[in-house]
Amino acid sequence: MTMAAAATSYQRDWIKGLRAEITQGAPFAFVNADTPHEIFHFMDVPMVTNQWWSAVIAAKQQAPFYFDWMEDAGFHRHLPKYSSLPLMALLEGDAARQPWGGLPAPALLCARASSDEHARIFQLWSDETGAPLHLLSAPAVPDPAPDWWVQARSKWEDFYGTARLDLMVAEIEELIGAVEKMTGRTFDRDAFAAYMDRIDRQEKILDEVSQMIAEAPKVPVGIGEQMPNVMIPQWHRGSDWALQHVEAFRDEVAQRIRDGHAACPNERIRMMWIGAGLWFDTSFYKAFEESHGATFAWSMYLPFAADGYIREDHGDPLRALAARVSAMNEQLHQPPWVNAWMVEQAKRYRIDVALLLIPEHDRFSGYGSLFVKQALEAAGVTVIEVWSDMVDPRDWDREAVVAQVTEALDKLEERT
Amino acid sequence: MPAMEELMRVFRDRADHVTPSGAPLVGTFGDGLPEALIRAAGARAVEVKAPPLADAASGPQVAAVTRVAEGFLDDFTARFLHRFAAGAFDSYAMIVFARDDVAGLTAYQYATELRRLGHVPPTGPRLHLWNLLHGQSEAIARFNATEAERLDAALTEATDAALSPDTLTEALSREAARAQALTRLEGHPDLFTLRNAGRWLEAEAHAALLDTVETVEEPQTGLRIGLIGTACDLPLLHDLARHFGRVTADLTPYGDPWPGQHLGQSETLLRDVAEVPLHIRANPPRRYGEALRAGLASCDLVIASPDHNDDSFGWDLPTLARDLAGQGTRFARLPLRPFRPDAAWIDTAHSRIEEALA
Repeated sequence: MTMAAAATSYQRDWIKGLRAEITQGAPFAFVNADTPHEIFHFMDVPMVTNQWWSAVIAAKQQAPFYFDWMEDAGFHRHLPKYSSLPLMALLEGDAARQPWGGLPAPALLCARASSDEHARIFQLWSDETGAPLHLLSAPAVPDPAPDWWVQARSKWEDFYGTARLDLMVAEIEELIGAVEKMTGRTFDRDAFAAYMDRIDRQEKILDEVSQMIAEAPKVPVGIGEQMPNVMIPQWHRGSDWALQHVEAFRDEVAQRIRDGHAACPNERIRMMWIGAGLWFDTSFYKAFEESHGATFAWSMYLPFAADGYIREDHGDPLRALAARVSAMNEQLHQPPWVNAWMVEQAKRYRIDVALLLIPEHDRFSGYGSLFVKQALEAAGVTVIEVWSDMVDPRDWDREAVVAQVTEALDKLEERT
Repeated sequence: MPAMEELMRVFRDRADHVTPSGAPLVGTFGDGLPEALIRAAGARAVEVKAPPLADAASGPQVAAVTRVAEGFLDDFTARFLHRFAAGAFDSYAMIVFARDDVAGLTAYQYATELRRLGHVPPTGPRLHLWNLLHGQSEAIARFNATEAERLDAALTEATDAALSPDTLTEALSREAARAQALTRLEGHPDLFTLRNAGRWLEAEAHAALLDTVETVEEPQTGLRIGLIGTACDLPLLHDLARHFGRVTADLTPYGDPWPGQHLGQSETLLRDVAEVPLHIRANPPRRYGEALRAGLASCDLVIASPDHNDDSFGWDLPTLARDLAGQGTRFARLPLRPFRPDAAWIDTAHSRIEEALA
C-alpha cells in the first residue's frame, strides 16, 4: 500500500470511529478549512472540515444530486458550491445517502468571514442543527507586500498587523472559552506550545518533501497522490499519526527519487494545477501523461503546508496561531499574494504549463485568476484557463477540456 | 435650475457632476464609512461605486482592466476599475474602499494591483482600505478604533487637514439636517432618486435642494411593498413596484438605510455604525436576518432581487420565503438581475410579481 492509500484508509476509519464516539455522546466540531483547527485538536474535540467533506461527497459523484436539490429548494444556481455542498447534504436530510452514512449533528460550528458565503452557510448550519456558531472576523491586510511566503514565517507581526492579530487572538480566546465549556477541560497553555511545535515540525517535513519534488529530475509523486498525503495529515495536524505519516511520506518520496521512480516515466512537460482539486474527476490529473509526457508536479496543497502554516512562535504560540489563520485563505486567492506566489512556485518546480481552475460561481476563489494568468505568462509559463467548479461536475465537459489542453501541449511541443 | 431638475441631474451624472473646487475630493466605494468623517477632515465625500448612467453606453474600456477583470467580477467593481484606469478620479486626493461592501475589497485589491504592476499610472488618488467590522464585541470595537486612527492619519496626509471632535460634531449636525430634509419627503414617488443624489452632494447642499422639493405623497392605498436584495443603483425596483402598490420598506443597499445608518454622536459614531444590523455583511448574519424580517413585518408583498453575481443574499431566500409565506406575505423572487437590465428582464420581473400575487 502506498502512503496515499494509507492516508485515505486512516481517514475513512477515523470518520467511522467518529460516528461511534458521537453516538456515545462525544461532541464534534464542524469547521471551515481556514479556522484555527489547532484549538479543537489540542482540546481533543473531533473535528470535520467543511471543504474536505465537500470533496468527499464530490468524489463519490453525489454532487449533481445535491446541487439539483439545492436549486429545487430555492437557492439560486450561481451561489458558490465548494463550501455549500455539505450544507445541502445536511438540509436534504437523508444521511444514509451521504458517504459513510453522513455526519451527525455537530456540537459547535466555526468559520471565518473570509468570503461572503462562509458566514451565511454556517449560519444555516447553525439554524438547522442548533449548534452555536463562532464566526471569526476577517479584516483585510491593507497594504500587502507580495512576498508573503517570505515575510509571514517569522515577521508576521509586522506583516499581518498588530491590530488584526490582536483581534484574531481575542476571537480565538473566545473560541477557547467555548470549547472549554463544551468539554469541561481547561486549555493548558504550556502544553499548547509543545503541540504547536509539533505542527511546526510536521510542516517543515512537508516543506522538505516539496523541495525534494521540485528538485527531482522527474516528478516522483503526482498531485493525485500528493493531495491525500498532505491534506489528511493536515486535518489531523500535530497528532502522532499525522507526524508519523508525513515522515513516512517523506521517506517514500526520497526512496522513489533514489530509485529513479517517476510518476510519468516519459516526463517531458511539467504542469501545475492552480486552484482547489477537481474532486469529482481526479483521474484527469493523469490524462496527459501517456500522450504528451505531461505530468502534474504541483498543486497548492503541498507547498502551502509550509508557506501557509509555518509561523515561528516568538514565545507566543496563540499569537502565532492567529498569524497562521488571519489571512490563510486570502493568500491563495487575492492579488498581489496569489499571483506572486504562483510565479515563485512555478519557477521553483520548473513548470512549463499551468492549468488555472476558474470557478465562476465560487467568486472568492475565482477572483485574481487573470492576474495569475498574466503573471505566469510573463514568467514564460503557458497558461490554460479551465472554467469549471471544483465540486460541481454538471457543466464539466472533460472531452472539451482535454482537447483544449491537448492543443496547447501540441503547440508547446512544436516550439521545443 | 429647479431643485427637482438639479437633483435628477446629479443622480444621473453622479461623480461626473462633481468638479474639483475648494475642498479636496475623497471618493467612497461602498457604505460603511460615515461621510461625516471625511467632511470633518475638511474634504468632500463623493461616492465612486455607482457609475454615471451614461457610463453604460459610453464609459471607458481600458485594455489593462479588461485583461484582468474576470467575467464574473462584480459589475460595480469592473466599471469603477475602467473609470479609475481612464483617469476619472485623478483629481481626487483619496479613495476609501469599504471592506464591508460586497464589491469594495475586490475593487481595492484590483486597483492597487493594477497600480503596483504599472498598468495604471502611479499618480492619482491615494487608495485606502477601510476595514470597519460589524459586531458588538469589545475586540471589534478596539479594532475599529485602530482603523479610525489609520483613516484619520491617511486623511490628514491626503487633505492636509486634521479631523477634530468639533469638526466631526459639526459635520454630523449637517448630516442630521440632511436626514431631516429627507424625512419631509417620505412617500415621494421619486424618493429613491432624491435621496441617492445626495451621494454626490455635500450634506447641506443636498438638504437645501430637498427643502425646496414639493412634497408629493403617493396615495396610501394598495399593497405595502418591501424591497430586498443586492445593490441596485437605479430606481428600477421602485418603478416595477409602483404597478402593484407602494414601497414602504426599501432594505436594499441603495435603499432606505442610507444616509441614516451613518448618523450618530461623535463620541460613539463608529460603534453605532458597526452595530447597524441591516447590513448584508453584518456579523453574525442572524442579526441581519432578524433586522430584515422586522423591517418587512408590515409588508403585504416582498420583492427580492439579487444580482447575477450574488454570493451573499441568495442564501437567505429559501428560509425567508418560507417565513413570509407562513405569515401570509406574498413573495416575488425576480430573476437574477444584470447590471443594467433590458426590457426583456423587466417584463420577466413584472410577470414574476404578477405570479406571486395570483
